[in-house]
Amino acid sequence: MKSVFYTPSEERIEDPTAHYVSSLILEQSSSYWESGSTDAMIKYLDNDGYTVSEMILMRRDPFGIYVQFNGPKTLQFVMCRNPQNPQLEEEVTIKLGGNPWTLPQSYFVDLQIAAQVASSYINSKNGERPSGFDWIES
Amino acid sequence: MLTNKSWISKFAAVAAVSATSLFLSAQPTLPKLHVLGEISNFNLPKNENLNFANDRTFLSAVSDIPLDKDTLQRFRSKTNLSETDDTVAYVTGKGIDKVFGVNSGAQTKAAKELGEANVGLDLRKKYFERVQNELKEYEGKMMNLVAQPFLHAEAHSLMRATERYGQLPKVLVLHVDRPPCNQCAGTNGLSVLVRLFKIDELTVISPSRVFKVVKTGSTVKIVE
Repeated sequence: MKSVFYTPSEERIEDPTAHYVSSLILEQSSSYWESGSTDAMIKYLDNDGYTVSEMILMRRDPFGIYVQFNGPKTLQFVMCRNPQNPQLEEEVTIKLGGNPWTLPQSYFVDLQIAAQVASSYINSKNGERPSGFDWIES
Repeated sequence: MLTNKSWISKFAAVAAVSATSLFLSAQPTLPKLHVLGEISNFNLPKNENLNFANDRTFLSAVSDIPLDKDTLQRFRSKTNLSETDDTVAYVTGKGIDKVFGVNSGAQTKAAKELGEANVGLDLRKKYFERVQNELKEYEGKMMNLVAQPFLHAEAHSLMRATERYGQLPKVLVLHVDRPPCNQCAGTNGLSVLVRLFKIDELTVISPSRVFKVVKTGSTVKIVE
């Protein structure tokens, strides 16, 4: 199994380090995160090249980062600041690839937490959804 | 008159060029790679031992079809689409003409050029519901929240082509004038429509990324 990281600026990096991905999350500008594909993805591939799982990251200041985990058969989880009541906070409209997308603001987490969950996913080497974080099925 | 130092440096430069020419001419034929475009030059950290599969200038080993910028731009010029926000795509294949699609934020502006009544959200919802009913996925979910690709130009062109032609060819090429987001490029994006429409191979050509969505049986692989 191997991991691949796609940066917003369309670089494709095989077996990225957690440090590298974290540094992009924590240190790059919002204009970087809203360039190119306007999001990033880490994915795990099995030995035949089929996707095992994916983690999509989309930073939109000042809200934070949207983190989505894709399992098999369109099963999706997102990180949520209020997992018991995700609709507690108001909705915000951001743009993904230039197109408007309205989401609960609680779907955006702090950069530090996003860096932790991305690092955990990369370091796991198994493609499983990182435990110990607040996920909800979206 | 050349000094010893400048003569030596000129000789070294000529020798280096000659050696490089000889080296290149002696190389076996390499797979054809297509240079698609330059990526914006952000100052990314590179002081780690990372395996950059592409580095600024994008090279594709899966297809040498160039992005059809002219056709996409001609469609744009007939509409009032935003250069920064709106996206244009078209899909083509054996036996079908180019079928255009736009992102949902652009569909009103492009409605006249698209020339059909059913170009809007109803079309996108129709195919989202087909995924729910036929693939038994996204059940009980809201399209806007979980299935952004259905609102993007790439999927729109595939849906409109299906509306026009019914069954699509097994092999299709899709041109799009901005890098696809990872919702579209991921397994919950165009892969879902490839399965729904029973397409064998969809090649996606964008300014900075090329990939194929290949269906083998009931599973789909992204090749790039």
